[in-house]
Amino acid sequence: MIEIRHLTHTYTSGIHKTDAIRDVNLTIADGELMGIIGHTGSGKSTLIQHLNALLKPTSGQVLLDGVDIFDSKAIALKEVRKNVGLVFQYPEYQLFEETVYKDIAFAPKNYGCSEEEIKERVLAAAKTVGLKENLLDKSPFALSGGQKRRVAIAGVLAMNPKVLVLDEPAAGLDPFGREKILYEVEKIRAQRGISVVLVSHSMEDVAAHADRIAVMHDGEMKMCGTPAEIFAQDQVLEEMRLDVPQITKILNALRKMGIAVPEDIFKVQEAADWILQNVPFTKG
Amino acid sequence: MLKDITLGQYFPGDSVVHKADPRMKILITLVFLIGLFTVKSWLGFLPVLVFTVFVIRISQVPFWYVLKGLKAIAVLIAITGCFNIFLTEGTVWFQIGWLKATYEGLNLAGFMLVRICMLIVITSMLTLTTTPIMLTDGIESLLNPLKKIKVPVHEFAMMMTIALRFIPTIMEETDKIMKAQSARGADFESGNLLQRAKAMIPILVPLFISAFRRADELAVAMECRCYHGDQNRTKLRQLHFSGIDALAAVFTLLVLVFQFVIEGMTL
Repeated sequence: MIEIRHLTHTYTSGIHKTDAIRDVNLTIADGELMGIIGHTGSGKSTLIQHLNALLKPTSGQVLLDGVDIFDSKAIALKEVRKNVGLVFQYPEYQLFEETVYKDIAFAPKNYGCSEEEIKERVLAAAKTVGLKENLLDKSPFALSGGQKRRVAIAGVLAMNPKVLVLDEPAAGLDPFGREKILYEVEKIRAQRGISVVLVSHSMEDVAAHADRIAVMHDGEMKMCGTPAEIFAQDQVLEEMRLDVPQITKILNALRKMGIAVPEDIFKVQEAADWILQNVPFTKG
Repeated sequence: MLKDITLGQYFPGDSVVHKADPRMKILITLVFLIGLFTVKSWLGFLPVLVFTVFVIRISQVPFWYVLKGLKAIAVLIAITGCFNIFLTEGTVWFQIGWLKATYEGLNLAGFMLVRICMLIVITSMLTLTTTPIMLTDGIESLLNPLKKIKVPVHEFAMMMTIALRFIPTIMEETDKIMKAQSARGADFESGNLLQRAKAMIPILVPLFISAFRRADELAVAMECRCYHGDQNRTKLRQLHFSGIDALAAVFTLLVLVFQFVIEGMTL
């Protein structure tokens, strides 16, 4: 479990000071898929870099299972980073090894795993993200964009983290690739039972996959709740120029027509199935 | 770690020094650099020192920030200091084996220390208060006469602009890659020299790949916009020589005159 308490981070550039995040409070439970949403510059990326102590807060705390991660006496930095895996935006640019296998093995090697354990972890991580075994001996630079990204995610998964944080894992991919990678994120959570933090600026992606959504705006956490709770406040969202997903709009329109659509449908496919089964279509 | 390098970095601000004509700033810096090398007595540093402190004050750049740039060359200063102390002939101060430290050497080392520090502070004041773009514009404009003898001044300036333009980008990228590799348990700060050098590979490989990609993309983008070098090119930012610049020039001359007067008196 990760608890973020009164987290504030101030960037200094020359004589100018900007609060990137102000007094953020958030708790991520074990096994939860938490979505963090907000526009560019809302402080999402700054926030998540505190989760594995890459950035130190100006004030506030981050507790990992009750231990303050910035207290070097309580927990070593390397230990924090092993437990909280962070996948950056466009993670394919961090690949450097000759083969996919070696690149995924980088993290377990840094943590001093034995050769057998490294092999076990690499194979497991590659399988979880849907990389075929025959790709492991190829150069990571010879792969496609989506595959490179899978290698990078596997590289973090190979640490066996308790919490996996992904910054815009679907950025820059085509719609099909987006859906596939987000589906794999859900699969990681289901298979490993770990907490996942999914950062995105796309309501659609987050709504369809997250258990709870935290909305960042202008460095502050404005809302936090289940997708249904968040989208019920569509006016507040609009003020922040965040839109409810299109599929939610359609379902809301149906609700206005007097059709009792369940609250928990956020995926396009589920919505389509439900509508086909439950909405009587009149001919003509 | 990377943020500690002040040398050659711009410090955003809105002061008179920031707004001054880059050509003037470059010329003044050059004059002072040459001036510093003509100083022969301790007192001779005084006028330049006073002027530099005055410029730092009105530029609103904090003192500690300027002095941070000296950290980068601490080793250089230490080495030259040792050479001066031990290799100058004169009255012996103390002796380690065959190495003799002399009072004359100590004096010379101190003198060099002040000179090098002043050099660094003055040049970093130029870069701290001038954006790289303005700096290259200034250099291009100052070198313009060389075009007459077919020196490709514009092309050099363009190369410099591009190189300078990409320093922050590459720094940012380095920072990002370092963070990404730290997130995978990479350790850059412990181990012996060889281990540390090896720890750089996961940073350098992605960095080079992205630098080449960027260069390639930039070349294509420039071609697409029909970049043809210097022919009939106009500038978005025109340089203006204002009253402040004239005043600065007068001050500089005064400082130089003072320096020579003091030198003349002490000799």
